[in-house]
Amino acid sequence: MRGVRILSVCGCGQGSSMIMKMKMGQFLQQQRIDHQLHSCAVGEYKAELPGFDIVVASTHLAGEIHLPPGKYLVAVRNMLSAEDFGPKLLAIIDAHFAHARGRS
Amino acid sequence: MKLRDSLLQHDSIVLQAAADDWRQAVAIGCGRLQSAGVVDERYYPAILRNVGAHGPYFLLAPGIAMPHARPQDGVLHNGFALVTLATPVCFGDPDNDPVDILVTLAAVDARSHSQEGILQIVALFDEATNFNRLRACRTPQQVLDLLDEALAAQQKS
Repeated sequence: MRGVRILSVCGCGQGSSMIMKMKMGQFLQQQRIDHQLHSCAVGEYKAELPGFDIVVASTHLAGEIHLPPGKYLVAVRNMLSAEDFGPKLLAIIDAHFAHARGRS
Repeated sequence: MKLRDSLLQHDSIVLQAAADDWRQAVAIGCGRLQSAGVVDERYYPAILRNVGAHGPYFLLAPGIAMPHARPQDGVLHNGFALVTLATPVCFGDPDNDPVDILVTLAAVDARSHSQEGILQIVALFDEATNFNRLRACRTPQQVLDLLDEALAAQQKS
């Protein structure tokens, strides 16, 4: 299986979602987690969903995102701080996508 | 477009500005970008509409916002503005209010061109101590110097 696939979502798909994409990429690399990252606008997330396991978004957008079983949402308060999003992300990865650990 | 180049070329650093509320705060950066021909008059109202629809999803961290709308909302060129406020404003986000640093982003597409600038924003805010150093800046040159330092640190790491 491939690594965990993460979709970063913001209102426009080109600002905060890219910041999150970069910060999460740094974090997942440090954690040696095999991953793919992509960003898009909230209006596009449904079309992108089939290719992703986890959606990350600002807490403000979390209520607009509805995921089917087997996909998981991380609501981010502080996009610049791995102390905020890191533990939430790792908990989901360890519980559901442990195969992504230790391969990157 | 790089963050530093845009700030210099578009004369889009405004320090210790006065704003009564978040709308006024967002208007400052948008105004500079409009004067520089980076965005047209549609951009600012588009940001307000987006906040109305989705909430202030562009708050990055406590104290820091990155207001932006979509390319089709009046973006003419890639560019950035950087605004610090004398008195912080609130967006109605208990996690990140009050905000006194705003980096306005305008990008002609969601891909390559703006990524370099966003990477530089990440570099600037990678060090939490840079938040207060930015708040202490009183001249645009001090901001550019701080950016140079942050970028040098990013390249080393």
